[in-house]
Amino acid sequence: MVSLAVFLLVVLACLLAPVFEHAVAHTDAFTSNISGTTVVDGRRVPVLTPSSTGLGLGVTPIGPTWDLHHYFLGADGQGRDVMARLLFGGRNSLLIGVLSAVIACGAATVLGVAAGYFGGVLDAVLSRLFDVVWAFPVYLLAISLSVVLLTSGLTVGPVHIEGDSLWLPILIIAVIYVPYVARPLRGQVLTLRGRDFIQAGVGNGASDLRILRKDVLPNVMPTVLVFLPLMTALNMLTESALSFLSIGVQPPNASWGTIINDGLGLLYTRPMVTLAPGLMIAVTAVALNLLGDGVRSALDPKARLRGAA
Amino acid sequence: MLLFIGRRSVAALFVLFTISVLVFLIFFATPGVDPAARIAGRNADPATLAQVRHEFGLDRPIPIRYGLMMEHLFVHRDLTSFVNRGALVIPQIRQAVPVTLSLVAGAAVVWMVLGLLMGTVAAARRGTALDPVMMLLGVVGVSIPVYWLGEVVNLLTQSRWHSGLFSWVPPLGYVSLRDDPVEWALHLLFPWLTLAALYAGIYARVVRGEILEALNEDYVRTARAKGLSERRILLRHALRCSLIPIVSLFGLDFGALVGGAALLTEVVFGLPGVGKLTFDSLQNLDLPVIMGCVLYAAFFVVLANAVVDVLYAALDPRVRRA
Amino acid sequence: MGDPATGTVTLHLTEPDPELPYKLAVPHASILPKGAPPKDAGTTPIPTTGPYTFASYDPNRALKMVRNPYFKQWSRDAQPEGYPDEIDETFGLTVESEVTAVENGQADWVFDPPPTDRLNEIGTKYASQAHVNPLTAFWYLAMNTNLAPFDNLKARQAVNWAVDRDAVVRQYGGQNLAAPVCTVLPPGFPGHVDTCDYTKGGGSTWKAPDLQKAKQLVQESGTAGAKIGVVVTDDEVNKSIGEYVQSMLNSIGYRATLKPISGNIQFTYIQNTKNKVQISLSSWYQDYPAASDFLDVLLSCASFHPGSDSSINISGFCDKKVDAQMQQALAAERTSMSKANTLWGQVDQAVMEQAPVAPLITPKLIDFTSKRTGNYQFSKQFYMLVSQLWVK
Repeated sequence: MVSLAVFLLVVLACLLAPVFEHAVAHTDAFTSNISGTTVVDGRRVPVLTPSSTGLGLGVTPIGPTWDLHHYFLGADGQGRDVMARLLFGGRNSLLIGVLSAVIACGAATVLGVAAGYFGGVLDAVLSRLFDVVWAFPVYLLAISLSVVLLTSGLTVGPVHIEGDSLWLPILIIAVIYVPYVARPLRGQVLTLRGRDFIQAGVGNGASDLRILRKDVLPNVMPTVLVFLPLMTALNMLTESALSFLSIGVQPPNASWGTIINDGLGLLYTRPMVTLAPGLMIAVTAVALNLLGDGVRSALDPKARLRGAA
Repeated sequence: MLLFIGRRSVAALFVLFTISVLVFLIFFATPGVDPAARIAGRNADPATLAQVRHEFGLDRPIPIRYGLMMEHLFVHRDLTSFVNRGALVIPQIRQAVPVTLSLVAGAAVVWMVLGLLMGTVAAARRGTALDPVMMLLGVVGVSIPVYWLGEVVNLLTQSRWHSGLFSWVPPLGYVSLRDDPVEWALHLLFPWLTLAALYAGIYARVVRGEILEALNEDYVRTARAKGLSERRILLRHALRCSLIPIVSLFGLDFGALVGGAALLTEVVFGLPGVGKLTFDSLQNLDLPVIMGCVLYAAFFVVLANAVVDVLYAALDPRVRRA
Repeated sequence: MGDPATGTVTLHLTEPDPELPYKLAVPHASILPKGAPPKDAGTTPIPTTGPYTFASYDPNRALKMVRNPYFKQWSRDAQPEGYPDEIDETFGLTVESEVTAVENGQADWVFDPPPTDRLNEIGTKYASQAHVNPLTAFWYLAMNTNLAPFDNLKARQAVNWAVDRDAVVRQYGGQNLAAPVCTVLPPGFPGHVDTCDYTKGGGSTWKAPDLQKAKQLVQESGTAGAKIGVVVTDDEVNKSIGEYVQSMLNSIGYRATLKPISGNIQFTYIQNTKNKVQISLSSWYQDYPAASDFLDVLLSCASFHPGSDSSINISGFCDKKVDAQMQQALAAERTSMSKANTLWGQVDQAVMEQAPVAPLITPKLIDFTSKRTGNYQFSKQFYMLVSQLWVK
């Protein structure tokens, strides 16, 4: 329950991002402020300070001031408030994590159950499809898609997705993890199919839909429920990895992964830009994984933790 | 059984073929990737461009280009890069494999030892504070982004504490085992630990779960009834039994990692392995190298999957029918 | 035509080319043996002249060059004998580790530009090992003159007024590594004249942006609210400047998004009209010191090839009047270079009036060498002369 509380706290903090941005920090988290100034200890100082010693090379953003009103965690390379971006970035990270987990689990339930229950050709086709997606290099897909979609967007029928839309990382991540959930579900349904109560249903002439709804779904639901928080954590980590390779959420929009990526260029001078979002990811993922554990011990299926190398 | 292995191999080949076609199509559907202008150099005139396009066979229909590429990759084995002209793809991959193997094998040793130790201790000390602490540590390991952990490790060992505590840490990169075994180990120490931190936690949890389950089984009760010591039961019976799922899990993970799934770790630590090669070729949009790396990686993933499937089938006849 | 008896080579031209000596001297021009294959030779080197010869080369690992035993120094100015017996280049490290390696004395020179967060350290602790040289180059925003909104002159001028070149200088590493520019020809380049059409307070050099004027121009042009994609490469400095440009475009009334793509394809991507790029960040470094290498190459009608990946006139700028002026300047080169350069200066101003590009900065190059190296020499054409370095 502590884990749920921590997770909700993080969500709440991120939801309050605009309030922090306007009422507390009086800043704009998405506008460059390269030549701007701020106040530290009552003195006006530039947000980005050019070096004045030696050969005078390089420009350093302001570090953490620990003053909530003025650059609490310092500035990034664009002179933007890292704290404000951290909160906004969290909204996107969480949104992507949760939505892609819901989509992946939803699609996996439909496909996994269908493959396991109907068997035959459908099962063979779906299983091979899972194999292909499973062995397909995610990063290639993401990089290619990011070039195609970033520049021109994606049009499917009447729906048009802009290149910088959050739907892209959400859908990419959801698709690549469908087999991860669908395979164990298929196995589970396969075993269920042989059980007496389903055979009895088939024998009584009940329709497939009825059996699926009344007998199969209730039995696989606990597994899906356990997968949900675990997948959310895993998807958040994957999103951050994609953003780290600069193929996730696009600037000036932010996610925790994007901020880590922004901060890598400042790692040696201003490590806080990288450290803070990394810690946020870790805390949130720990909370979600523990939450998954809790749900598991309450429902007891065999879903397992997984990490992204 | 042979039939099952045969069916499994055909399926594996199908998967590899589909992936190669998909990679090829995605590549040529991406705007701006046509390598001709990049090969011809900046401000090349249209005639040069056409010549380059012809020379590299880029003016031919896509199915033929696909066929030619596969022929060069598998039959002549002389496929060359689009970006570093003259650089053969297969030797590049062959040079990268020992680096990846060094990284993955070392990390695997660390995480297996840590995972087995933590999992067994947690199971044996169930009910004490040690159990949840061990498991929490495991969750933390899984929840930290591995590339971020790597960057933080670099920050500490290469910069912040490099002049003090970590002055013995060599610069990033790779030294071959044959050249200098000590330097090899020193260069890989932190990459091993970083990669292992991710997996140790997962394995510790699996080991703990399996042991606890095994401890409830009949044969353990029999052993207990015979008066064997708890330690002996734990190590000789429960742990040994839990090794089967561990080994299959390990097979899948190891296959994926050898195939280049340790991409992020390799990139962060500047290790020129298969993952880094894949990453660089993706950055360069260098199709021949991408194709080589992708097929290599997919081969290991598919192989690991097939081996685990076949092993299961050998152990459990019910799977064969499925 | 070669003549072994007198040791001379005669070239027959179809028309006069005053820039021919430059073209022969570009770093990528070499003398080849008769019968050399007319195509890319990959990693098999073709013989040519020079003080060093390839001992081994693997594009992913290392390049090793040793003294050429057949080399004889004919002219010290043209091709001097080198100092080091062997030149080893290893590839594959990150820039951060390259810098660390030179700091620790494990290597002698960093090939890539040092990352911005290491600059301060290099400029202070290792100041004696850093060499900063101005380059004849410029970074600029190319605006597509054939696509909305930048088919509108006022929209292009608005960008020129609005862009804070000081901010770009900061993103590049500070005023000791870059300077703001207003013209296509870099300062100190043949034909360059100090003028600045787009600076607050007027004058011949850039001082400050004028956002009011820019906003007003955007309103007048009727393009306010237009959607704009800013295409940049995804490395740190370019992306950072791109983020600033995106933010700036929003502040003068557009709705801009940033489109960072891989550095390996951005350059060809932005050239192809099929990709419908509205504005992009690019740069141009001299091939040889002649004004035509910037103005004629980058902005003439002849450099514009719609639908091709190789169309270096990224703006698609083709102005009959300006093109005629360029032809005039090229023709003048045959009689008087100085008169031609005056004409090129006028071309530069005529181009900037039409504002197909927004010049941002002229960069400097920083070479970071190890403690044990000496005799650092810099050429605007070849940059650091590796063969002239001393190593203790």
